[in-house]
Amino acid sequence: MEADDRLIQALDQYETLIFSICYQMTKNYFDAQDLTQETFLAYYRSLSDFDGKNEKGYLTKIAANKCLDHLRRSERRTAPTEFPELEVHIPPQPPPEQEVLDRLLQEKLLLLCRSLKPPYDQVAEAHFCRNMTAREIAAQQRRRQKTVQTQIARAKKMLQQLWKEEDWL
Amino acid sequence: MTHLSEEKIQKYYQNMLDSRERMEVLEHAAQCSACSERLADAIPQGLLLSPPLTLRQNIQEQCSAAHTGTIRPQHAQRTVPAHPHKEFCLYTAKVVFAMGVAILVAFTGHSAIDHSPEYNGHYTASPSSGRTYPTEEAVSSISEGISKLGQYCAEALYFYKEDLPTNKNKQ
Repeated sequence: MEADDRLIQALDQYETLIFSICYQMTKNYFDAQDLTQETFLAYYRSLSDFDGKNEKGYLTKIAANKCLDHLRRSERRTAPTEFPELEVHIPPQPPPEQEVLDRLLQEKLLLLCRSLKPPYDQVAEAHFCRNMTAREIAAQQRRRQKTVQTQIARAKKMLQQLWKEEDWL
Repeated sequence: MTHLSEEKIQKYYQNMLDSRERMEVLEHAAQCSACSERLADAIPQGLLLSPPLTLRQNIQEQCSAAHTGTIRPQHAQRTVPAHPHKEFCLYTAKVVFAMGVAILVAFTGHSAIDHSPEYNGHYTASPSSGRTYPTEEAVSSISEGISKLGQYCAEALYFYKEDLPTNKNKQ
């Protein structure tokens, strides 16, 4: 089977699963997107070496590695305390109501998008909440696609930071 | 290797593990395909999140770019030019030419300067035309910067030292 066909099949079967796993590992909606992307890219590149057995486990293993690297990089960026024994111990959090997780996430996302300064608020809401592409947004707002793409990238960074700062699930 | 227990996996999804225990689960899943599959199978239905529609498109675009070579693979070797000496000479000539132009532009206006009272160490203005020009010090620092940049670029392009003209080679 062609690599592209295998990728499409893997996306059909496991995109939601890998994205959800990445979210559970990082608790960050945007980091989960980036890590899901990295996971499938790494999977695509390694297809020639992959024997095709246990695809779910293979993808999850790649995702776990990507998330681990990401979390370790984030830890290194934070300043270490002088007294490690006083470092904050994060206690277990109560689980959310499972059936409303998706809805709560979308609501939070919308709020965060609207909290950005113009023109990022409109672009962020259109792209992240209504799933419009940069081309569609550019056509709607009569602007250059490149400008919209840059604004989406900047909005994503801001939202990523805002998401981390908020106390979330 | 101690595998993940069912209880631990359940607690992981119930958010009943502390940060250290969560990292342990992650670290083990990163090494063990069997346990990573069990972790994937155990995710509750209610925790499955719908990814944004643009994510799939982004993934396919990135993979397509990786396939065509637009995105450089992670561990690609940097290539060395076929004729590094010739390339180095060409590059040096370009840098020297650019420096010459910069100095020429600077000194073309320099003669019109009448030691204006607006002198600020970097720029000075001609009282007759009102135009501002960089001072000699500014031009020197620009030239120095361009030289350093040229040196840095030459090193970054992996030119071999033995290909550079030296006194020994000339003899």
